[in-house]
Amino acid sequence: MIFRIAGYLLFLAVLAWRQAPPLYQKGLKKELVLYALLLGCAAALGSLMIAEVELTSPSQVLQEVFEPLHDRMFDPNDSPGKR
Amino acid sequence: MHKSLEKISGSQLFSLLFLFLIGSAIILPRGPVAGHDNWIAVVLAIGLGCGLGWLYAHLATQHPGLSLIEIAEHALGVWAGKVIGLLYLVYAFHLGALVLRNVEELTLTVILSKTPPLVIEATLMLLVLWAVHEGVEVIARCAQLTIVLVFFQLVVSYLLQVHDMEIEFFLPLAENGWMPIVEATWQITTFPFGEAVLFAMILPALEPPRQAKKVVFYAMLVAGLVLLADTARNTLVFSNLTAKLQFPSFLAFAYISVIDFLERLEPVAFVVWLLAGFFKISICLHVAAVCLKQTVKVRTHRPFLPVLAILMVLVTRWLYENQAQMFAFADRVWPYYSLPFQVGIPLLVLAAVLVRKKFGKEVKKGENPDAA
Repeated sequence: MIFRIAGYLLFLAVLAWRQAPPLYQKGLKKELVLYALLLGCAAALGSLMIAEVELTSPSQVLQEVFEPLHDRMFDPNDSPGKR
Repeated sequence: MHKSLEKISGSQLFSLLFLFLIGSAIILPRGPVAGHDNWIAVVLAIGLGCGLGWLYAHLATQHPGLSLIEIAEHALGVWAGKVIGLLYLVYAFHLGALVLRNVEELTLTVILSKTPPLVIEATLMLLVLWAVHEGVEVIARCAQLTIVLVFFQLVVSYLLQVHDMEIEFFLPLAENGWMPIVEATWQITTFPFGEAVLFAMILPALEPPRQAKKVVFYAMLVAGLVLLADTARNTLVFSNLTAKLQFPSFLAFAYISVIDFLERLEPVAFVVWLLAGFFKISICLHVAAVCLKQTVKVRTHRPFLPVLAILMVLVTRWLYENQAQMFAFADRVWPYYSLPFQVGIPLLVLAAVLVRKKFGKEVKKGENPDAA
């Protein structure tokens, strides 16, 4: 698992090595910060997923919020129970 | 602020929007809750969808060259515009991940059952990344070539399946009352028609801008009619069973058999749907990047595309544990979750524009919103 995470991080590092220097050379500091932020998110999320850490999925959170609304408006026994 | 120089014609916009609407909607069942009455829901949803399309196109024609985020910034203020920009960034990104998952599930179920899901997602995403990196003009030109295939697969399926169809399967009408049809109408309006709100970020590229309303209306109508024809075919072949099938359109193709000779045509349809899915994911990634660019006010969105694509693949893997969750989300969560994005925010922006107009402060391209 550690090797897979290391491989994934290496892949991201290569990507950054290819993409970040042109941004720095052109003086695009805001772009560089944003790029680093997004890359950090990709590194963190990917590493956690490779490590099989249980993360609450965004769909599950949305389901908790919106499904009661559906059940109040329409028949709760409708789809997908019908499937 | 640096403006995009990309321009697309009316026919290119039509092809893009048409394929976007067909995208994952042709893969999944439409309004399964209505059973064999789902075609009625599709008809009603076409009307509502055209109304939504008018709203998005109206905002675009009133403010040529401005996206929904830029209009919101001018009409509601800079910070409100930024919040709306971030919301649409999340929405476009999330929708892209959902569509990628739909395509992946179909591929895994019917064609490549032993291939790791990540391989399917990464391969498709590489193509999407290339297309989006080339720009919306290139995607639109590819769409113009692909659109014919959608009509082709539909005509072929009707011609070869007419002997399997039973017109009685449409009857009785509204067997379980009108509430399931109302629910299905809402489901189909929000998926796929309302998703066209993402085109409020692409319409500024239309040349000439005055064509927006006409093109959006015809794209909504024609895509709706294709979905109606597809839904009707599924019902005519499978009746109430359509509601219980995971991928009814695919199964309808698998059902084709002409004198035990012309069979196994489903890969033809699969390739067309894969292409439609490709266009939808491309639009989602492009719009997410454009939202990021316009919200944070950076000069270009292209350097962020590879990282956004990687994040999209990761989120796709993270979304659901199984297919049942995917269908439950599409039926019971998406219609409610997407409503503020598809109706609420555009209406709010329109209301703010009308109020500003009444007080003599029109929103114009190139105006500094900070001064507002």
